[in-house]
Amino acid sequence: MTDFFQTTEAIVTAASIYLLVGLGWNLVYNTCGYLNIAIGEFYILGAVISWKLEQSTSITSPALLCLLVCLAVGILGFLAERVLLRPLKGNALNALIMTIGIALMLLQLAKALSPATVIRPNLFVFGTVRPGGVFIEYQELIVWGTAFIVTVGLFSFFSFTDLGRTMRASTDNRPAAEMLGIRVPALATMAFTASAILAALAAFVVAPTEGLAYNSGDLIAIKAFIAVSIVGLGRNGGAVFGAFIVAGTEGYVARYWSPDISEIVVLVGFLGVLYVYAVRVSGGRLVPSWARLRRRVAEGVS
Amino acid sequence: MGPGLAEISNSDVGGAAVDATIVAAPPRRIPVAGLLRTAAVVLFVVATWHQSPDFVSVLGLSAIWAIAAVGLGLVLGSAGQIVLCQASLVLVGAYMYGAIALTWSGPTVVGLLASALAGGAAALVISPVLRARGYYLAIATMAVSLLTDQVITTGGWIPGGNAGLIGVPTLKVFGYRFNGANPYLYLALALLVLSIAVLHLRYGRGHMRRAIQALHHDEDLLAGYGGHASRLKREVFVVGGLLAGLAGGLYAGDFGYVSDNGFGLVESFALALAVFIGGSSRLVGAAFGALVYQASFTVLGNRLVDYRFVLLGGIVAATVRFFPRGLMPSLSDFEGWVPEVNVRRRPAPVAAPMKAEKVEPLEMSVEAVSKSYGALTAVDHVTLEVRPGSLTALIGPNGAGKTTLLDLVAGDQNVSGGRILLGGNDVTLRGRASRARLGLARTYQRIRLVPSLTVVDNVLIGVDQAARGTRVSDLERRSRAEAALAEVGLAGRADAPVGSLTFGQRRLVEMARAISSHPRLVLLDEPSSGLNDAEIGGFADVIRRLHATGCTVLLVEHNLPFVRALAEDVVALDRGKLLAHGDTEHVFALPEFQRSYIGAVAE
Amino acid sequence: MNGLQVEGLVAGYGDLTVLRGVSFTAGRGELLVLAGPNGAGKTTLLSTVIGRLTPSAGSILLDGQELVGLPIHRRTRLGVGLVPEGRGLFPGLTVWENLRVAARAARLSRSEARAGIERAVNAFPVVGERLKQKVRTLSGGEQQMVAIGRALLTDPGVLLLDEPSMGLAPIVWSRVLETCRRLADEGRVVVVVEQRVLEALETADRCAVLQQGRVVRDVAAEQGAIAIPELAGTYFSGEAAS
Repeated sequence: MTDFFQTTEAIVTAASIYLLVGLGWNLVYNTCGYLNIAIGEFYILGAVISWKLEQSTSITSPALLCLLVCLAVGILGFLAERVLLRPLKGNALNALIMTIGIALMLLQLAKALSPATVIRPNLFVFGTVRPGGVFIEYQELIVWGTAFIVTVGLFSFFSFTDLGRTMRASTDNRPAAEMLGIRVPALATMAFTASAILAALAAFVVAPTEGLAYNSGDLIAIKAFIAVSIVGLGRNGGAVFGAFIVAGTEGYVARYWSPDISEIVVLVGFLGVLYVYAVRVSGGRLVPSWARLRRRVAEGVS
Repeated sequence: MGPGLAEISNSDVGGAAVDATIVAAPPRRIPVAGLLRTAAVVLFVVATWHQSPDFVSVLGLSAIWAIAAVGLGLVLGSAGQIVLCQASLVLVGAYMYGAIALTWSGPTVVGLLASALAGGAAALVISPVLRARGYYLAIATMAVSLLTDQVITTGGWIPGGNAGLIGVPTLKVFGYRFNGANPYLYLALALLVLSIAVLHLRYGRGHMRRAIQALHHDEDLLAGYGGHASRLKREVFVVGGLLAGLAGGLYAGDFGYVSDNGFGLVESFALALAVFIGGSSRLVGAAFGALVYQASFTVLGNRLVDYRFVLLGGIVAATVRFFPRGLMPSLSDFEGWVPEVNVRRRPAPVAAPMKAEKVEPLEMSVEAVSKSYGALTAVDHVTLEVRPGSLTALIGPNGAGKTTLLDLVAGDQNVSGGRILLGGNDVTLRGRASRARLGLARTYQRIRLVPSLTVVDNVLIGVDQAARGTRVSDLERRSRAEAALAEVGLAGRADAPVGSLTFGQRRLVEMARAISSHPRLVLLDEPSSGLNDAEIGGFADVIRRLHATGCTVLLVEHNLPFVRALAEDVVALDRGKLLAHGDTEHVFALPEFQRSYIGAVAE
Repeated sequence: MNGLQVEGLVAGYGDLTVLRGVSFTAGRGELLVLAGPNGAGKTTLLSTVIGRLTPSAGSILLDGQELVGLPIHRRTRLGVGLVPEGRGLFPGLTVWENLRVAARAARLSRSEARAGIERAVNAFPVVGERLKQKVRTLSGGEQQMVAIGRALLTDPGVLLLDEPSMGLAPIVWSRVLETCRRLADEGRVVVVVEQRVLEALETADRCAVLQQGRVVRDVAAEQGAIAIPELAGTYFSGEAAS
């Protein structure tokens, strides 16, 4: 039975990561109108930059490292959006290609900075707790805490700050927002930068526990996408739910069936859901968010 | 890409238009873009040759990947389907060749053939994913790519297991063994040229080309003219898979080693970027992009080879931003400097006047049809029968539900309740394409022309619909299209890009397109909106002539004088409900009707 | 001159010219009805006045100050309030959030924003009752009140309403008209763009008819009421009422 709880404990950690990255997907989707395919690479950079800083400088304070990582990734994200993406004026296809190009460039950067093997920065805190025989590392608690704080923080931001409300407004009805004089492109830059930082933060806190490979970002990104698209892309409300579904499926399959196929199950499940959903009767086509995206892009360009 | 972008005069990717073959040469502006592109290309090739220890090998590898890139060029560049798993299909082909060549003693050519078929089969298996559109398709194909990786890493039943296949024998044809880089280079080049030629013959011209362009820019429009978008998507995807498999088979034979290293998501990304770098509207461009991709491995020299993706990413960023049509220079860059290339080799056909092809009008009726969006009811239990062969106008103030009703009849929206009958058949559950094949044509409030096609090509989409299932030559189709253009007064503009036409002229092109499809029922959505006084009269004439062919015409209109001059019958809606249906003068005089518009009875 | 003065406005979208030289004036305290069939350019005109669209020619003066060239938020601060067609609200946000976002977009300070929201609530008590509700749960009439309230945040000298009657039951429409009258009596310029003119004429001061991008008739409201057959004729036969 402790086995089950141990598995569940690991699932919570995984879900935290998918949640953080998933919120990043949603942020960009909602405010920018396209998808940030490079989010997986921003994720990895969070771990890589942290590790590199530890190696090349004498900084040991996690708080300071966190600040520097967020700053570095934030600058990269800002530059990427401002210089490369904003001039595309919402042309969805071009934006997609551009984010793929950005992804490759960042991947190269990650590879150049990372060690030959697994990226594993130092733990912030050593030790574990052992409630009822289940091992939980302190670092994992930090991961859970980060996800929790970010989620609550984001929720508060959107509910209680003027900037957050303005962002929700521009997602809700972009032409009306423009009619009021709201500068939506600036909001898009903010959202993109924020999503990059969120993803990087996720890797920053989780890499010390298990270590990451420099090219594992895309798989995490896809799983996070699956998590948020289950409940509807762009809807933060259900993101927690989706993250647990994906992490849970993965975790329990790994434990009770086979670890090799856990990810396969998740991916096949996703494709299966897409297929079934798309095949629904009376002309059902899987076009929910894309139609909205298209409409939004069309309105945005005019 | 989406309909909203169809109107914007395009410098976006995939926007190459055919230039008009004008006799008088335009004033010669310095072709800066063309020169820059050519310079970039030359520089790149020279740098690669200089830096590569084995230029032939680089070329050979480029040629092999080019085959896969060309396949992707058809899917992504031409048809606009965002597919990010092409490298996985290449891998499938490579494994197939390797498995066969290693275990079977028969001719290895069979292995090569099998590799192509394996790629195509794998694509067929994956093809349901194409039902997703846009970003969902992109993510789904990424998932496929990662899935392939996972399966190979863990699947013990994959030949060669984790380590991959080694010692794969090279190709042997009639006793000649393809050993070394040179033979494979020639073979790959030959197959590349063959592939491009075959693809061009089938998909690069005629009605297939138009269908693919329509699929790319406005999938629903294709359906509106009877095309089955899903079938077409599947077909091009499988063809792309066949070519990917073929490339894989060549690769396996050339290198003798197959593993999932080098065929992952990153490579699929790179292939997609290669298509764009070359210029997604041309298959040759995709081949060029593959060269850039391969060359990036060596062009930076040994020390910087790790930064090849930065280079690639940088090239892509520059291309998307500054050269949306791709890096490969084209003849159109140098117009005025090279002798006019007469793109069409056909003799100019004399446009025969449009024979008034009489059609059987389609009966149209709706029974208690409703449409609601949550709490908002746009159409409220409307029952209506339109007299076959009549010219009826659907009118009502803003928010009355006119366009929604039209959408329901055309199949652009699904009903919340009630039935739609066309020609006596219940078509409520049938899609656009199926209704189009019954003889229904429709225009929209905003202009829906395919920006990458010329005026006449857009009209030909209508001709293709009428000619569906019959064997009509391209020449004959073209002459029909030109007749329709003459009918609407645009005879001389057949080869012009749509972006060069005025708004009113574009409306007329849409009418010509509708006319060419020989519709039995035509739905026009605010045809006069945006037209000035001079244009409206001519437009009314066009509608009358269309009506004279015998079809039923139903038009939604706000311009009441226009309606008065044109329509025999009028259907008036107010707040989603049917208000009146009858003779135009009669309805106009009704107090309730006038009240719905201006608020109180006219004295 | 005090009030709104539009002169020779030419505007459109791309190669499509919608406004071909629109001129009219409306003084403070006046309720002007801008009538006209669809496609005449009513929404385009309002978009140009608020600043969403840049005209290629012509001028817009508010109390003598030229508005053309100023960004939207400057015009809002100077006193132009727009109630767009379809209300232009944010359905997923609450009433209060809608008002707040608009206030911030107009760069109002905290105290100005608070004062503005109070003004909106005072003008429409129902808005005050529904502050915490999401806009999409409100009825059409209530949403209209919210939209007008939102336009009042900056205490505008000019209030523009684009087809306010759309989707409203007649009785609600009359109440909206009464409100417009009241706002005009407070000293504002109120311009109501409408297809359904006749009820509006009962409370309006003047009526201008927009057709094919030009103002073809500009009369006092009673004269407008008398000229109904001609007005109907403008709609139904298209002859410019002489």
